[in-house]
Amino acid sequence: MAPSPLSNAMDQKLSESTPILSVQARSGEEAEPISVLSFSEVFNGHARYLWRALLGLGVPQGDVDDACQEVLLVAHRRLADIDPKTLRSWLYGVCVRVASSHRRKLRARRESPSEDLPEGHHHETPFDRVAAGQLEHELLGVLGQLDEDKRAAFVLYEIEELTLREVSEALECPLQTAYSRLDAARKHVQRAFAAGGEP
Amino acid sequence: MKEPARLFSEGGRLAEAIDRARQQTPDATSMSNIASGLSLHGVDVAAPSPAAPPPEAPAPTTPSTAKPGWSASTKVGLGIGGLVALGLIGGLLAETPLVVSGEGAAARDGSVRAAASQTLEPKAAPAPASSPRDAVVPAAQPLEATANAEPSPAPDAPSGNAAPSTAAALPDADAPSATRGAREAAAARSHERGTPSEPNQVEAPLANPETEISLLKRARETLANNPGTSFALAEEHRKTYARGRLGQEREVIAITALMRLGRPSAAHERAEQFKRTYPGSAYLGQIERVVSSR
Repeated sequence: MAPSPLSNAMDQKLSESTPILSVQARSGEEAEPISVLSFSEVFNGHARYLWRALLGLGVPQGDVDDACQEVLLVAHRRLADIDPKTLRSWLYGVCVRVASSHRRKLRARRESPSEDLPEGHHHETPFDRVAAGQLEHELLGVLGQLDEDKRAAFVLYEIEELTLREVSEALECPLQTAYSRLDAARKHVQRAFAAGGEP
Repeated sequence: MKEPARLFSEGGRLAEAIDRARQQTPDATSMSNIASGLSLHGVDVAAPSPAAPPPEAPAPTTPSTAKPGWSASTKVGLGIGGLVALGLIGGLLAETPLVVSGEGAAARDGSVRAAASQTLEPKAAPAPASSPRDAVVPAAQPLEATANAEPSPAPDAPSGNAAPSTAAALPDADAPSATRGAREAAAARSHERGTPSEPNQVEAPLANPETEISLLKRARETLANNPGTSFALAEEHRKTYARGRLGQEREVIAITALMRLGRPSAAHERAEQFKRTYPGSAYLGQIERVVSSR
């Protein structure tokens, strides 16, 4: 897995936009014990779901391991800053950005036919071939017709079962915006499935 | 704002598609690749967190940190080692996805962890343990519980509950194609961790993982041709390692062996007990198939 500068860029973006919980209680206040997350807890408790979310967010199957690693590297570096109460939405927020970055890189590669794809970055895996025609594959295809924001809202709410508030935190948008994106995505997906996957 | 009912609850093809999408979880190879890749960046998934507060502001001590050398985070971290160790069982439960469980642990993983820890900052206090919520990853429940402790407008089922129950139904081919380097690194690490001569550097009140693993490995190896022996070995494991870290894996072997021995009633009974004990286990799907395959 090649190290990616993405993680650092992600750190910067997150530090600008993500609420930070100070680990140390301010002096003079009642010390409210604030737990400090351990990375192993993050890995054990979330890695598999982050992996799944990345797949739903459009990261090619062959890239999901790498993308998941990127998410976890960001989490590892920012561990001290993460509010445990919003950990889940924070992690999924990183997933959304990492997935977006992966898709951009993928598009760039496709537009540069002279550039050889790195080994391991397959666009069709044996699983893809086996899965072709199956429902989950159909769903991924329909999700691919959505723009990134709507797709993310759908994946986080319908597949990952975040609350709407968590979705809005992950997407860093107002609750109403998250609702609107989700609603639009749901209508599109429902129409597509009502039509047999052909919207 | 009222949360819309999730489409999954409405049934139909779309609900089934969503359910299948939820089952798309990484297998052991993927998790091993990720852990391996992280370690190449100096991050050991079993190491204490580098997110320790500054020395002048020590992290509040939680009850779980009161036991030196055996904090909750250590237990959780060891779970990863257990998973890697599971690979040593040689595809013990080949179709089964990785179970990140605090029960699974390989103390010998400590040498790797200790090396990585040298580059890490002081140990952080783990999140306080709380009642389990996400049954999929028992060892990680404190986090899930904490994350969900905030008042939520929709008390939905935990996100993970839907995933593992049928995760085992995924075809083997669903393993993502990791880069060759990562695969090889993972294989090398797994191999290294499986080397019996590797010193056990973790002091933990656990049984010797070598013995526990090798016992189950033998149980698994004899499952195909000699289910009686396999079952006996599983029972030996149950008695010897009543609080072992591979209890779920043992039960899968035992249930499979019982079916092959023509004892479906006992197998069903044990399967029911398994469901009660591990309601969120990733092995449920596999067990269901085993007991319904006659």
